Amino acid sequence: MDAFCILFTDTYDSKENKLNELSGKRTLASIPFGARFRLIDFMLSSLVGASVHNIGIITKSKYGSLMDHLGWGKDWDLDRKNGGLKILTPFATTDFSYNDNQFEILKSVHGYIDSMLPEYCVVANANMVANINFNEMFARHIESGADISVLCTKRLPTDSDTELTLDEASKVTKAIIHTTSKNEETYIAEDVFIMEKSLLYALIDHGVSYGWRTFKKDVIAKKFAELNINAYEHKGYFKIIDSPEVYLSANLDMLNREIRQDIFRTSQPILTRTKDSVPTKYGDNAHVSNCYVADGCVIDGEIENSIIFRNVKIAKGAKISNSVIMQNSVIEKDASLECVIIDKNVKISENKEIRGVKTLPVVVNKGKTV
Amino acid sequence: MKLKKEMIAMLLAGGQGSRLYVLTSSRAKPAVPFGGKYRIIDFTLSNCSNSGIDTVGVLTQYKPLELNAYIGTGQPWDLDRMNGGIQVLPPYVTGSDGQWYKGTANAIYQNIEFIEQYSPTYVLILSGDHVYKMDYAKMLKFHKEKGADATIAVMDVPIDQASAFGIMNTNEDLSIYEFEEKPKVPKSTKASMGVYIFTWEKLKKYMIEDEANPESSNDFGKNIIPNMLNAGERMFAYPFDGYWKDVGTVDNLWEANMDLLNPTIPLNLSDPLWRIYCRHSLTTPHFIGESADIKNSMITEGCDVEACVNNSILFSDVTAAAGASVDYSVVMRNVQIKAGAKVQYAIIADDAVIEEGAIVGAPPEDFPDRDNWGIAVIGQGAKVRAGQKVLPKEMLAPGESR
Repeated sequence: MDAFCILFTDTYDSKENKLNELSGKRTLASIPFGARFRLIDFMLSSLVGASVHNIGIITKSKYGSLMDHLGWGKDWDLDRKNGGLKILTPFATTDFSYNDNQFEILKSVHGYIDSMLPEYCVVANANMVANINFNEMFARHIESGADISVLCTKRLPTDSDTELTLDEASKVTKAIIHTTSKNEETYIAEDVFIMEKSLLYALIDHGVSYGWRTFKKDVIAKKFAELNINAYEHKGYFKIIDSPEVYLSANLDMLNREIRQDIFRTSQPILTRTKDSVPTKYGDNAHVSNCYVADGCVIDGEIENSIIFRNVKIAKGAKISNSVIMQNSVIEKDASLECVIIDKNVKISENKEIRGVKTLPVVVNKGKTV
Repeated sequence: MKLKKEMIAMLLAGGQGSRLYVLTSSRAKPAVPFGGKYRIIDFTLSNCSNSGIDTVGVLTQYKPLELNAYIGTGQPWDLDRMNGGIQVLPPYVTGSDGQWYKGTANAIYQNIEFIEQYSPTYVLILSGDHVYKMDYAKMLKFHKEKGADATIAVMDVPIDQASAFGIMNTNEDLSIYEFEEKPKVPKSTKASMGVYIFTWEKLKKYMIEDEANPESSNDFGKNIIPNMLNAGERMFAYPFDGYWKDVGTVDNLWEANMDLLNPTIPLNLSDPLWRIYCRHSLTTPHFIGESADIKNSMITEGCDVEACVNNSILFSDVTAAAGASVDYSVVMRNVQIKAGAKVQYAIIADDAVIEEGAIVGAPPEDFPDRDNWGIAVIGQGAKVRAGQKVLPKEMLAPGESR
């Protein structure tokens, strides 16, 4: 696929970020997911799988953990002599506030865009869990002769999603922002776009002039009548991580074999940073059922329906269910957790009990001792 | 012109490991998988990297394809360096006198040119088929303090096992006065670990002399070390007291894997200050299903386990279905164990398939005739068909079906 990509690691719509605790110390894209991945891995791997080897990553703030994760891009085969991974650090304006709309940012990185040889450009967000077939999306884009292709999914809309009406040829004929009007499955535009580089330039100019903020709301919703916008439906698993509730349920979705086979399919593997963890060790008192577990753990407790990241220690007598335990956390003897999201480096002391519910999980912040 | 190195390592990795039978019929012994995600050679390579040795020559000979691919640029061990790094050294031909490596010393002799590029003061000779964690920098310090010409790492073995090793008899200051290869009546329990540091100029001299002797078998243990001792060179035994195991037999390989599950054995793989590095396969976390029951086992990436697993090591991408059981076994990469299959006291090599209800191995207590009991071994890609049986001590060749 003859394209380069501009990948946004934060969202820029006015929607309040409800992931507070999880994205307090890191960008959205570097939130850990699925026992050993980070959200950005899904988009990077989908792109690399379609031979997109020029990826510019837009960062805003709190990008320490992201830089640490990406390094030189070696783990995604993006440490290339020509192209590869390029981290585009934030451009503060004169009053030192960060640009907080996609068009201002794209304008500030035009030097990177200028240097790109591919004719096409992918503009995407990195806050979704999906394994996207970009080769197919690109082929449809060329076939349809469209100006822009937008990725869409068929699902229940949530507040401020962009609902699309499509004709038989998948051309967008109408786009409205979802309010409370109706609640049935419909086509929703997602933050993944393909267009020619020349159109990208034109849209940047336009967006900056008119104070637009995001591609989805401003380009798709305002320009569907003028531009030929083609919708490409992604039929596989797709989740936008925008709240602790969705975060927990999407993680627990990885316990479903069909979803795993779709997301982690061997024809387009999800790549991530490798660490030299030892295999996970299960003790004599371990009782583990329906769990997704990374390497380096030492497990002697009882766990069910949970996602366990690397190097987690779970002592004898600890009971965990429907929870996500991130890297390096320690759950001591007889502690009990249900519907809890434990961030990195957390310690839950002996006998402590934390209980959330699936629709309102408890989040324990990074580095905390309970 | 290369920069001078104080010490470089030469790693002998050409051994066939014939006593591992079907496990080494398609790959060299150092490439044999170990401990869930490692290969045997990872231990020596990681030791080099962790000891600050950045130049390693790996001497290959027997079935090198898999080993070469595994080593690659040396990046997993942080040995992809601008100056030095890892280099695979196969035997080569020069005009009419090219030849295979005749012995361990001859292998080094044939690569004098490689070594001289770095003008090292010392050369560390290693073999790629032992499992241990050792700081070679400390050994070099010892070598220098003693003003030695050769230092040989030794470890204490029980006296009743000493006759299986090369034994160093030493004076009080640890200088070696005698070396006995597999003595019937051992005088000491200091067994050679096959780890040597030589002062390069001395080693070079003895190798050239040894090469000129047509009677010699060009071996470190049989020729070079005795010759140096006889000539009165300063030779010392460097005592090592950690875990060390030669995994050259099926029983030893199985035991060394089981040692990883024993908390009292001092082979800690998760020491952050002494990591064992390996080349990773691209895979996902492992999944433990609802019907699984796992006790005292090691499981790694990509596995999908619904079976009962006790005291076993599962390598990456193993699938073990509901109703199957795996006990006291080592199950290598991408093996499929299907419903109702029973695997006990066995080593199953990569890509093998154990079909529904098949039985591999048996526990020693169920086996009246102990002499005929042993670890059952299934070769790479072999298949045990539904309901079939593989007895203890039996071996299935790679690709064989039963």
